[in-house]
Amino acid sequence: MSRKTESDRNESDKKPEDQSDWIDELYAEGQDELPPPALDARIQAAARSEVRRPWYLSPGRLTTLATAASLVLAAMVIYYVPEDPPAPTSDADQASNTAESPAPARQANTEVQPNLSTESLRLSEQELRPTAAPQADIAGSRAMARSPEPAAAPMESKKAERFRAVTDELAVIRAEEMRENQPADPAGLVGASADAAAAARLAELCGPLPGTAETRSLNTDAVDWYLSVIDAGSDQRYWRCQDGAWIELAEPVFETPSVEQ
Amino acid sequence: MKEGAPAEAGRALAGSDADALPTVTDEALMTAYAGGDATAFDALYVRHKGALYRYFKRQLNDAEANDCYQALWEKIINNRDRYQPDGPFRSYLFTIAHNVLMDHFRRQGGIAGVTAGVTARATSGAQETDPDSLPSQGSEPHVISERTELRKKLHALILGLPAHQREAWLLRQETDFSTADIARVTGTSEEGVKSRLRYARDKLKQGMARYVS
Repeated sequence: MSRKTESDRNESDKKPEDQSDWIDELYAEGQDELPPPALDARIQAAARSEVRRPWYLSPGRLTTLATAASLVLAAMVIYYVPEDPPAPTSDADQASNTAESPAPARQANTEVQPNLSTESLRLSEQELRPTAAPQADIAGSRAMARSPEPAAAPMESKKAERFRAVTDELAVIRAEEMRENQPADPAGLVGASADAAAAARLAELCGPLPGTAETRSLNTDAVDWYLSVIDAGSDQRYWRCQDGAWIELAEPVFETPSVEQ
Repeated sequence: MKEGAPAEAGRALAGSDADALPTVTDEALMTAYAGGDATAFDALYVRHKGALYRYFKRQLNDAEANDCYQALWEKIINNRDRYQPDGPFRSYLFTIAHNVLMDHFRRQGGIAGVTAGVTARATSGAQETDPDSLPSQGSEPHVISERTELRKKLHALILGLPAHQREAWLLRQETDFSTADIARVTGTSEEGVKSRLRYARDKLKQGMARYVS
């Protein structure tokens, strides 16, 4: 078997599909390695049991069913749970209400409607008064009838607090990740233009730039920067100015990092 | 097989055995499996299990590779209803594999931390200085064993590559993907992939050079 020498520079002119390599051949000889039979059996059994499962119990369907069931229950709660009945009023109050109720309609066009505001005030006072008629209320429901708002508020505020705590924690983690992934940028090139002034700043910080004006290229974008050098007859090399020296990059990193993959 | 006709594909494949399915496309098999044909999944699994398993095995230890490999197929199985044959199935498969791998690295503390540990394991296994010449491929037992040893050293060097270079190189070896395909699967640019492949090949050659005359 012939073995190529290290003159891989010629190979860079070829299309990748045309390049054969003794490393590739050596690797290919080991491409008979397969997963353990037990793993195969487990996966294929899982695949078979999934298609035997009724359609409404498949994972996707279950989620849809659960969501639909939640919506139906919520709708039932909203529409069928009776509202708190209006507080019973005395006969005198009922009579005055009846007498006054047409008044706002007559007075609407002529003056401010003090009767309406009085009536609504009276009604609100009645609502706040404990009910006089005997009811089979338990203590909890009576407390809810008196003051529904305060009972719900503590639960809502706890949820909001938990949500804020999780959101804050996530923000801290994201900020740490961003800091870790920040490239060394003493010359402030990230997000800036790669001009002669930038090159001069780099030279001050890390010494003469690698390559020459003809062979090097300064590359910047919103999240990263590097200096690339293509010498005649060789591959492209990548450099970054870090801690007062030019460091060659093991691999070019010039991709906008994705938040979630 | 016509696209958008999963019911027909399911009926067409139902009752077939895996041996009769080599001419059926991956996309048709996956569509048939989504329609309820377990035989289609078996054929699909046999076609792709080797490449996928080695993709994980060359980047992780045995236990992690098995876990990720199983997680990949679980995703394929559980999301079969959402599969749309709007691209090559192999790209779909390896994109999911890539995501499973990235999820694993993230759980381990990021690619840098994992790579450092992997590099330490890899270099400790590749320190032997064995200046034998590269034996030609042959059927003699001693030649086969030497090739096997060389392959082990190569695997150790692969494990020691930077994660992005390693992945690109493995995708090139295990599939027929072009650089554009690899770029799509790994979410990077074609130029980035070309550079990664170049760096990976050069590092592997440099590493293997100590074992050949």
